[in-house]
Amino acid sequence: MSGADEEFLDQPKLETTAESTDFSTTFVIRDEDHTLGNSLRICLNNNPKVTFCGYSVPHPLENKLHLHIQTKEISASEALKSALREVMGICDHVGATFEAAEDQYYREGGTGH
Amino acid sequence: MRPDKVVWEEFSEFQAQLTFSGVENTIINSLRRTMMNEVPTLAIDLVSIEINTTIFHDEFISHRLGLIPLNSGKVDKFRFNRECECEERCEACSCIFSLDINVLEKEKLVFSTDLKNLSSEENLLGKSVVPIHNSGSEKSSFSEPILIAKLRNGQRLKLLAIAKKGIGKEHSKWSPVSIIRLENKPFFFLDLYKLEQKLNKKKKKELVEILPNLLQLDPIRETLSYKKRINDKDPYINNTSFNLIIKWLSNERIDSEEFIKIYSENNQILLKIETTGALSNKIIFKNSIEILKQKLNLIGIHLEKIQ
Repeated sequence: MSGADEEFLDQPKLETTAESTDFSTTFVIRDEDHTLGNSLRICLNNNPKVTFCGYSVPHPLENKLHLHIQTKEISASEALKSALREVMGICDHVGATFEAAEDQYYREGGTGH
Repeated sequence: MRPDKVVWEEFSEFQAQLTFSGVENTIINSLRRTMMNEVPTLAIDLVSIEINTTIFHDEFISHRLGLIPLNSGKVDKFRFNRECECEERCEACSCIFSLDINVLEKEKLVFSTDLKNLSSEENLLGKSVVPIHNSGSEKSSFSEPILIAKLRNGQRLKLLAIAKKGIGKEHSKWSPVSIIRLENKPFFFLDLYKLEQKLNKKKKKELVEILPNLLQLDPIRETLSYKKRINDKDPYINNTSFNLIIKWLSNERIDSEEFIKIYSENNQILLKIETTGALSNKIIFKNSIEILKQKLNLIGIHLEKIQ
């Protein structure tokens, strides 16, 4: 493999830009798009310790996501971690509610496809 | 933000509808995007054509073969071809089909049923991958397998097709949904007072006969009213009654727009899924939740690394 290929494979999934500080960080996430960006942004905005949060896809042909978080009292990485946990929790809850409804449907004698 | 209620309705083998109450539409949109782009299925990816004397060029036929939905119930047991340890392809990462047509009659239609699965008899995994021959609804009288090409007397088509695992982001042939819709649930209201003024007694009786559960006619004052009122407000009309009212109003040549009002509540979100047949609707929904969680997990792991 040439040197350029190796460099490409080593590129990290998640990194912060040079201007970032503890309380004001821009995360650059590779191979992600609006699917994750919008959900994380909503959860971060609901966090009272986050003063500003926004995401953008800088260029549609490049598969990168910029997520900018400004916080007070907690570090931006902490805020991101709790937002990730919250979205995972919502996904779990959706799955569990769906399975409970499905079980009840079949218990009551429903016939499905 | 967590949904209090999720309701699943299935209209047919290929169509289903989910109703969420109490959750924002951003998260549901993420699920919709995942269902369309990131749930893996199998589709024909590599076609080597030996003989083609039809009027269609090679790429045309290969493109059509790629778009045929293949039964991907066991796609979890397959590996991605780029991650497989084999050199080019093997039974764990792909499935091979062949098509050999030699036309002796005047005209022949080549259908997806003519594709032969070349997996050996012991390879149950490979044998399970069959094209979905009929993606129509049960009610339609026209149900034929998928048409690939039309050949004439003397034309030949001989090729090998290799099916691989992939996701919709790479090419939409790997997307398991054909249409997926996200909307706020609509609520229908009928402006009864306004409608009454336009109808005579006979028409009012007709209307009550169509909707006996919803309306009643006061015999003395000859006015229409709802049988049940919720909190002293007019009740909303469900889908079947709504369709009956619209039909009756159009028969009577009354403009329905004046009397029917449609509102949508932010609280309830409808997600309508139509599948190509490659995966069932339930599997698509459950897989999309898992895949979204995996993506979040991966970001969490990398976040720990840089700290």
